[in-house]
Amino acid sequence: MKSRHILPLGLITVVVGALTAASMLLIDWYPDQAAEQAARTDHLMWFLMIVSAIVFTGVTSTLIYCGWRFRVSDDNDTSEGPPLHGHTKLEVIWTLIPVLILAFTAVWAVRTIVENEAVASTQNAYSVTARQFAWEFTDPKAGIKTGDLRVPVGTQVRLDMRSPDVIHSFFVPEFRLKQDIVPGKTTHMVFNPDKPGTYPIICAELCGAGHGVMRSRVIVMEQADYDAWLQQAKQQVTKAGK
Amino acid sequence: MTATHEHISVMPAGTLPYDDAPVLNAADVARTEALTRRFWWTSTLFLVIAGLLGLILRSYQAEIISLPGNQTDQANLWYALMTAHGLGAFVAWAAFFLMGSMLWLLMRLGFPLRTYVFAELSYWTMVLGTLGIVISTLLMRFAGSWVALYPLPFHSQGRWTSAATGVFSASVLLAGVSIITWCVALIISVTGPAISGEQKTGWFGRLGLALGFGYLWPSRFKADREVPYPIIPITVIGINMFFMTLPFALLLVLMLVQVFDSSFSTDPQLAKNLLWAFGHPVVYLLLFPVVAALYYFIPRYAKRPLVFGKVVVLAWTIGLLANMFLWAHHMYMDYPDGSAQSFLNMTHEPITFAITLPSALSLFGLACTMWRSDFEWSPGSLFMIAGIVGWLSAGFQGVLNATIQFNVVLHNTLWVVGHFHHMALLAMGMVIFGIFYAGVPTLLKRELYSEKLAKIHFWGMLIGGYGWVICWLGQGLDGAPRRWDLLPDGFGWQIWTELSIPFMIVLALSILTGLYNIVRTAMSSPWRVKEGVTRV
Repeated sequence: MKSRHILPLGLITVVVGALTAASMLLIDWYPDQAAEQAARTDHLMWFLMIVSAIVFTGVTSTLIYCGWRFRVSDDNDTSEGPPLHGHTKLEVIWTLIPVLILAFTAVWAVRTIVENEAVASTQNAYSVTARQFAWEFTDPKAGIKTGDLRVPVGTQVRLDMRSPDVIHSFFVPEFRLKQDIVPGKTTHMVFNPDKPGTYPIICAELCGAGHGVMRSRVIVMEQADYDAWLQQAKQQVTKAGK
Repeated sequence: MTATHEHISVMPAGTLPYDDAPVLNAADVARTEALTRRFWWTSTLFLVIAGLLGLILRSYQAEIISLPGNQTDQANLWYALMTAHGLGAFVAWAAFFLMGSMLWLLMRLGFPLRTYVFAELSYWTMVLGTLGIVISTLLMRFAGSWVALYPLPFHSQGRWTSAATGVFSASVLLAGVSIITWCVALIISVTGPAISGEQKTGWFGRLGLALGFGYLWPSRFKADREVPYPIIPITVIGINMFFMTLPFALLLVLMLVQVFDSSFSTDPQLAKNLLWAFGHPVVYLLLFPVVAALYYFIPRYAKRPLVFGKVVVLAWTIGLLANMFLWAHHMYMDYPDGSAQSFLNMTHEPITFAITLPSALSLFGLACTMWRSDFEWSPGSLFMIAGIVGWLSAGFQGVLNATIQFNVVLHNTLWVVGHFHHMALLAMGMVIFGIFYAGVPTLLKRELYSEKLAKIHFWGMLIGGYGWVICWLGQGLDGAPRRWDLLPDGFGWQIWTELSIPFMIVLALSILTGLYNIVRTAMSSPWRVKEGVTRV
């Protein structure tokens, strides 16, 4: 590259890069993190975002510079630049760069998903039934059925999910987790809630006219609060049984 | 040198380094151009209808307009409109426009159709299929989305009838027949004598030549001339869509059987595999023809050959194979954790990544083709360069979607809606309008009515389009699900919907301006040869 190209191309790159970085950093794009899985996922997301921003800035700046600097001149000079056709070395270089980035990303992504799905030695297991257009959560040990899911913080939760009708999908944005629920199959999800609070459960697969109202809540409680609630719920179940 | 359209059309092959079109039979030229115009006008009519439906959908979400009936009626009607909008915009407009354009491009590259039967069949089955989709959704209220999401079509809770599911399935099947017959027309064309010349080459050898193997193994794949680079993506998509439309066609047949025999059913996971085996490759039914068009037009605007060599051929071969096996990235979340199928799905992550190779190499090659050229700016080239930038930025989103852990978060959120509108409208749609403007002189034999209106169209689409899709991307990153008729209050999502409305209006007005410009062009006096105009 001749030196006369470096300064203007560099300036364009700075402007495009600044705009790209600003759009990434100045807006709070993600929901809060409320599970251990969310933090691991967000690390990967930011890596991908940053790599994408760098490549986007480089290619877009080059395109803008080419469009401006190499537009047809007033004297309509159509003489050609140096021939690059068939430059195998250049092609190999610009093939290897994305290949290496993607290979690194693939390994990191698989590692993240394996860590996110790692099974802890102790779990709180719940059964989930998703049907047009409601959620039902069952604690099989306590024999309690609820419309909201209540779980203690700092433990691993396992969901065994079924659907009697159509495909649904269990999604909690704050956990960065989602699992489809397919009729005829039992699918599973594990998560480790690490922040008490109330978070939305959303059906993320079109399931009919009431899809937009198929919502519930996951309430993450301190262990003592959870134990107290469980005790009270058990008593209510016993009373109702009598 | 200043070329005219007349000049170009009589220019012998090889006069310019980027001009690989041999002198063509006048009858072939006239017939192919007439056929392409028919594809263009019909698909543009579908764009108007699908665009109007899109305006209604988003305006309802922003609570600017209301739909008839009670809340559930409104929700079902919204999903029915969404079903029609998706198929109308993606297949009946964008894919249909590009299908017609590729017939024209093949002819310009010296590969005229060897039979018009398949192209005609493709046209009429798409028209009939689209009409059936309109009837089944807008009149019969089928609201299962374009992907049908089996077994939802048979669990409507009384919102639509089994007959509606039948009409919808048959109509989409007709659109599938259109795609398959178009592929047949392409493959027959590119494996004809135009590719091998006087060389004695068998059918598979000619197919290899069309895939660019002559660049890699010139002694094995002999031809009288090098295959033009645009032929490679056209051949790849012809092969891909021929095979990958068949699984979805099978699913639609199974659904039709169930319409007539309610005791029959299909495994939902098998159905989802059959759907996505077609559902993802169909994206490339738009992208690969767009790439072919860029390969064709950008060297002409830059007045130099494409900066490509052997590796891009290899990348396209990888793309051809990857496109047959990447659908499972739509099903990362459908299998139990730890199952063999769940593990297999993970292998689809690198396969999906592999499809980015032809895109990456193409982008670098196109940028280098412009480097130190005398690039000619016109409405056509302006839209195409914006399309390249859109392709790049939407392509990154594709990589994010393919990354399995990222997919877990963003699958079925409005991020995906933002991504495919970004790719379909601001990448491929931009190039489609670029082809329109670039092709007007040749195909309509008229000068463009107004370059100023074309620029208004461009800037409106650029500003309105990006503002519009960024709102969806933001909502999706924040966890807002897609395919919800109304987003609930209290999540901070609605502000994005309201923010998107002014951008959507700018976008709609700009496209209307562009269409007005093109209609006025078509209504103007026939072509006059003029010096100094854009050549194609």
